[in-house]
Amino acid sequence: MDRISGLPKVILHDILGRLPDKDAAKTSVLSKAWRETWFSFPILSYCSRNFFNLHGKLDMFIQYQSKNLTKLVLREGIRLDPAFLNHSLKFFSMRTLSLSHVLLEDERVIEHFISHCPLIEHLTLHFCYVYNPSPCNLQGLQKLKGADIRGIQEVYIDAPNLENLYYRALDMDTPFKMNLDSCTNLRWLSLQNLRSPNKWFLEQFYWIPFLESLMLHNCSMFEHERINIPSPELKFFSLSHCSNLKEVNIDAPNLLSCEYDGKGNPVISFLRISNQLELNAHYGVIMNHRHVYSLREFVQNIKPQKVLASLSLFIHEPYSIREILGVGVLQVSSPPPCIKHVQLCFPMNMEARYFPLMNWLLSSCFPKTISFCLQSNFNMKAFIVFFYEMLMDRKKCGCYLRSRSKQCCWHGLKVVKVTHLERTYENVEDLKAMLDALPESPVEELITFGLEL
Amino acid sequence: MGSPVKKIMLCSSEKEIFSVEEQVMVQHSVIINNMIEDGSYNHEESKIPLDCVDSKTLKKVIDYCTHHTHHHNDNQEDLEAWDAQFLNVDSNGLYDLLMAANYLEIRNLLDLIYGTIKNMIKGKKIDEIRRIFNIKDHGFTPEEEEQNRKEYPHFY
Repeated sequence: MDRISGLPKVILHDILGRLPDKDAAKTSVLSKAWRETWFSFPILSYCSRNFFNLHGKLDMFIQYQSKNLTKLVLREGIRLDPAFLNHSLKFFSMRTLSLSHVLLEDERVIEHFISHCPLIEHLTLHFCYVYNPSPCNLQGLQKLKGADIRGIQEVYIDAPNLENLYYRALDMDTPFKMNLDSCTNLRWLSLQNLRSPNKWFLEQFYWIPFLESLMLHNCSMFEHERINIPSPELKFFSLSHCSNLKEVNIDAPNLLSCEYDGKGNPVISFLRISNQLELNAHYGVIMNHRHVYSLREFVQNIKPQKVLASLSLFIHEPYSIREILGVGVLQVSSPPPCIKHVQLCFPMNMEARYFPLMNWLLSSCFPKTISFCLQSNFNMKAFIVFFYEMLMDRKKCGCYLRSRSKQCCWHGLKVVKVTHLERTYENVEDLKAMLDALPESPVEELITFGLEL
Repeated sequence: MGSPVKKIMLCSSEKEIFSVEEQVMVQHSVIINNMIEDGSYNHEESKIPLDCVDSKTLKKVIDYCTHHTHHHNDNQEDLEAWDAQFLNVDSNGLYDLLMAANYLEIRNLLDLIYGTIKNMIKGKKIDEIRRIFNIKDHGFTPEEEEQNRKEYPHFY
């Protein structure tokens, strides 16, 4: 026999474990010796499309290896029927079970399967096709540490040691039902597409005692468009694309980082905050008359103001800026709120929009630093030069405003430092030369202006 | 100029003695590190017998450890190029190195070799892998082989 094939099984298994599932499966037909190795390999990943065509193979494998199997992955079109689980079969070594796009008679097959894996630690259930949908009861999973469940509308999890849970409901209006009553050890929770309000779920969810990370994406499960987070241990909170939220109240004295991503304009308030707390907001602006003041409102509605560390702006329809804002000054009575950092990221391709955009932005907030994304399809270069010249030579700015009685509130602002890839640019010639030298292909780099009043 | 560099003696299966900087082996080999730490190696008289490692392989292992000790600050590209050159051996040589690295518990060398074997399998057709590994007799009966080819044509 060749020497590599004769390596100890434990070494060969280590190598198989590093290969993509398909390549690992391939070794089963390399030679008799490799087939032996493959059969004793305690990880089985099985997909009807890519690897095996015959059903009997899977059954045989499971019969042969059920005691040692540590990880089982079934994907895409595999049918899991009750007969497949022989009653004598117990998966005593199974730590990881992953079923995605598997065909099932009903959810009880999953329950039945899982009840044969008493030591399971990681469970993945993704969009299983079920003929007779029924609630999915995951009971008595003492060892379960992590679960990733998607596309099952009704789930009851009884896992006292569960620490990480990702749950994503189907993206539709069917009500989800979920019970996490016994999951008192949850540290990390991510919820997606939760649509209909469910008071009783919310009560549980607001009081998970040790929760450290909470992510809510595309959820509208909140009563009265309000969400209250009283979470003593929470360190990270992310709220993205949760439309129709008007009020976010967070009372989390240990919170370090909060991310907001959306188009809405909720009032975000923090009670009892730590000194390190930073809010990073990604704000998508749709430009129309109604929204001219929305950025300023959004920034002002963050309480306390000092937590807002960075704001990235994406303007969905920058072509309408001029039509809406004209060249006038935004009618604001007080100086705009300060922000540590603003990042701009959108296509900018008509000179006529430069001034309205700049005026709108700087009337909405005073950033200490502002970064422009240099992706070539955004055409930002000319705007960056314009921005620099406007701020450094304020006489020109005056030209725009002379006809107006009201002075623009950012009149005194100037650029103190321009940096790109840790290099500083002192004058407009250097800045232009650097921008001209940039490659045409999309670069994700930023140019950053330090500003000062 | 400081104290002289401490050396240890390694003895190959052919009883050839190799003298190596202690620090080089301690840093890379879990086994040698343990021997030095628990005092089972006596600098005056001991040599470490490596009965399952031949001289040619041992020399290569020492080369690897020495290079990675003295060049660990080099940029990643240079190190990777050196590693690639280092592992430019036939499958027998690779086997010997793997067994030696496994015996001495040299984790980063093991990872490197595992990665190399992985790349000999990944994305390749069965016949190609058989050639690379020098598998002359796959052990399947002609019927089984034909059955496999029929069932998994995409592997061949």
